[in-house]
Amino acid sequence: MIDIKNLIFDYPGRRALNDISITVERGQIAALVGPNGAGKTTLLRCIAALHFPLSGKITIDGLDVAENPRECHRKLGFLSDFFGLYKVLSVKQNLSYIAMANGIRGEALALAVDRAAERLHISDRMAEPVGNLSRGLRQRVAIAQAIVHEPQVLLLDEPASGLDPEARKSLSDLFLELKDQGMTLMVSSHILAELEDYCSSMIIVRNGVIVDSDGQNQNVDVTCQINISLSRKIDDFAYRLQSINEITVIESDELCAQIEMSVSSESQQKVLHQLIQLDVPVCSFCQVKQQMQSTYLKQINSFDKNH
Amino acid sequence: MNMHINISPEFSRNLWIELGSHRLLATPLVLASIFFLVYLVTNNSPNSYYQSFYYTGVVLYFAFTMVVGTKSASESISNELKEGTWDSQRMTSISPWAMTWGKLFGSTIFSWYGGLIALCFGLLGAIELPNISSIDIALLLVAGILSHSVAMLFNLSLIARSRSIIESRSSYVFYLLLIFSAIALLKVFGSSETIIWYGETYSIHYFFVVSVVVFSVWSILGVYRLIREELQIRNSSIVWLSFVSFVSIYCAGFINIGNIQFEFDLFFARFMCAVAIFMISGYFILFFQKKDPILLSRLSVLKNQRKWYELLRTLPAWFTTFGISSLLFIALFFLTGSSDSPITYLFDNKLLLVSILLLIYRDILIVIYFSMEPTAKKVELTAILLLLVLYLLLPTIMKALGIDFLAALFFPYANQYTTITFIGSLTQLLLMIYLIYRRNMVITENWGSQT
Repeated sequence: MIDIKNLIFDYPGRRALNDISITVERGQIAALVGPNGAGKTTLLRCIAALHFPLSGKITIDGLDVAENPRECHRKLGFLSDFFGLYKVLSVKQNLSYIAMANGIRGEALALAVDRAAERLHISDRMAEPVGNLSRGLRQRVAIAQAIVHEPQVLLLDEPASGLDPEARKSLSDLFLELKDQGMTLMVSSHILAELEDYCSSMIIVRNGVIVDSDGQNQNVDVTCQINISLSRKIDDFAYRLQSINEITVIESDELCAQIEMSVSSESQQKVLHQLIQLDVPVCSFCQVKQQMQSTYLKQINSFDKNH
Repeated sequence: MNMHINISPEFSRNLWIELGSHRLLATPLVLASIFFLVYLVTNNSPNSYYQSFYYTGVVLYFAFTMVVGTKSASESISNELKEGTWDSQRMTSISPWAMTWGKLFGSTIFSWYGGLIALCFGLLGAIELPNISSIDIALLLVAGILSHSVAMLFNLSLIARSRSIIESRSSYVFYLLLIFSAIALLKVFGSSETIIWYGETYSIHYFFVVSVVVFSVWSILGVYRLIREELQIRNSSIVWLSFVSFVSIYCAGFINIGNIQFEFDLFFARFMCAVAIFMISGYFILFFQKKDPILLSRLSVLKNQRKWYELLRTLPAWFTTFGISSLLFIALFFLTGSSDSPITYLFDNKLLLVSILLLIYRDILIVIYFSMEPTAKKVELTAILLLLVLYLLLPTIMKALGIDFLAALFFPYANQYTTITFIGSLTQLLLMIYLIYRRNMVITENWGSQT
C-alpha cells in the first residue's frame, strides 16, 4: 500500500532521511519507532506529500506522491503533532469543512461527519467549539478529522501523547477497528508501550536510516509472549500445545506455559478458543508486555554494533 | 450550512468564522448610527448632506476594505500557520483555485460586508451630486481587490521563503500597501488629468482603473500559483516570465520622446526600458526567492538522472529571468550602433556591455555563495552589504585617492577604462565560481560524513 524506494530528504546542512526503502502492506498497522530527531515526522510528512524529498520515490496504492500529490491526499489521512483544528468553530463545523474540502457533498457529508464522530465517541460534543474541549477530546476530534473522508491510509504522528490511559485504550481499539475495515495505518511514536497493543509491524528509524540487523532493511513483525496458567495439572499439556499451528512454545510444564504468537487480538482469541476445544482448563491467558521494547532494543544494539 | 455546499469549502469556513450573527447584525446598525450622526452634525442645506454622506461612505469603505481587509488578507495564511491548521488544509484534496478564491474573498468577507454597506450609504448621497463619476466607484472596488490580493501574494511569498519570519514582515507589507493605496487613490480620485501611453492620450481615471483591474488579475494569478506550490503542485516560471514581460511592455509605453528625430530612438529607448525591467525583476526575485543548497542539490540530482523536463520545471524563477535578461542584453549588443540614431551611440561600447553582464553574473553568484552556508542568517542583507561595498564604497575610496582606473575594476564607468572594467568583472566572476565550487565540495563532504 505504501512503497518507498531510496528516499533521501535533506534539511539545510543535515541529511534527515538517507536512502530509505520500506513497504507497508495493505491492512497493516506499522509502528514507526525511533528516538526523538530520528526522522519519523519527516518520513511521515514526505509520505503525506507535505515535504518534497531530494530524491527517491514514494507510491501510495500505486500513485506516485510527487507526481500526484492531490490524488494521494484523497487516499490519505494525517494527524500531525499539531491537531490542525479551528478553535472557534464547533466540532461539527471542523469535521464538515475537512469533509467538504475532500470533495464530500450533499447527503454524504452529514453521513461522513456523523460516522467519524461516532467512531471517536464525540457525537454528543458536535455543537461545542473545539477551543472549549480538553486536550484528549481535541485529539479525538483531530483523529475524526483525519478519517472523515474514509482514507485508505492513515498517518499518525504521536497520536497518544497527552492522552490518559482510558483514552489510549479506546484509541488502540479504534486503530484495530480501522485496520479490520481495511485501512492501512502508520503510527509514529517514541513510546513503545502505547504501540504494543495494536501494531502488526515495526519500522525502526535511527539517524535517518532504517535500522537493520542483517544488512537488509526490514520490517520486524511484532509478536508477543503469552503466559498460560491452568486450574489443574495436565500431563500432555505440551503435546496439546504443539497441535496449535499459530504458536511457538517457549517453555511449558504440566501447570503453565509460555508461548510466542502474533500480537493481534484475533489470533489470541483463536488460540484461546483452540485451547478450550482441546479441553485445556485455562484459568489465565495473559500477554507479557514489553515485547516490542525488547525487539526494538535488540535491533538498535545490533545496528549500533554494525555501524 | 447546506447553502454553502456547492461553493468553495474554504469560503464557507471563512464565512463561519468571519461573519457570525453578531457581526452580521451589529455592522449595519453601527454604520447606520454613524450616518445618522453625520446627518445630525451636517448643515441644513441638502447639498452638504449629500456631500457629507458620500465622503463618509468613501472614508468608511476605505477603512473597511483597505485597512481591515488588507490586514485580514495579509494575515490569512500566516494565522493558519500559527494555529497549526495550514497542514490540515494542505492535506485535503481541495483544488488550488477553490483555495485561492476561498481565501481571498473569504478571509476579507467581513471587510467587504462592512465596506459595501458603508459605500451604499455613501451612494445615497452621491445620487444627487453632479460631479461623482461611476468610474470613481469602480476604482474603489477594484483597488480593494488589488490591495487584498497583493497583501496575500506577499504573505505567501514570505511563507515560501521561511515559515518563521512571516509575522513581522507581513505587517510591514500591510503598512506599505496602505500608504501606497491611500496616496494612489487620493491622486487619482476625481482627477481630470490625462496620461500618454504608447503615444495615445487617455483619461488618468480610466487608465488607472484598467491598470488596477489588469494588475489585480496578475496578483490573483500569483496567489493561485503560490497556493499551487503550497499544495505541492510544481510550477514552472512561465507565468512569472509572462508577468515580467507584461510589466516591461506596460512600462515601456510610458516612454514617449516628444520630438522624435529617429523612429529607432523610441524603439531603442523602450527596448532599454524592457531590458532594465527584466534585470530589476531578476534581482528582485533573486533576493526574494528561497535559495539554499538543497535546491542546488535537487537540480544536480535531476541533471544526473537526465530528467530534463523536471529540471526545467524546478529551475528557480531568478534563473530563468536572468536567462531571458541575458538574451535581451545580447540583443541590445547587436542593436547598438545598428542605426544612425544618436541614442544608440551612448551604448556603443560593446566591451562595457559585456562587463556589465559579467558583473550581473558575479552578483548572482555572490547571493548564491552566501545562501549555500547551511546555517546562514540574513543572507540577502549580507549580500546587499557586500554589493554596496563593491559598487559604491571601494570605487569612491579609490576615486578619492585619485586612482580612478582602479575604481573601474568594480564599477562600469561609461567609455572610461573599459578594458580594466572588463578584466575586473571577469576576475571577480571567476573568483566567485571558484568559491562556490569550494563551498559545494565542503557541503558534499559534510553530507558524505553524515551518511
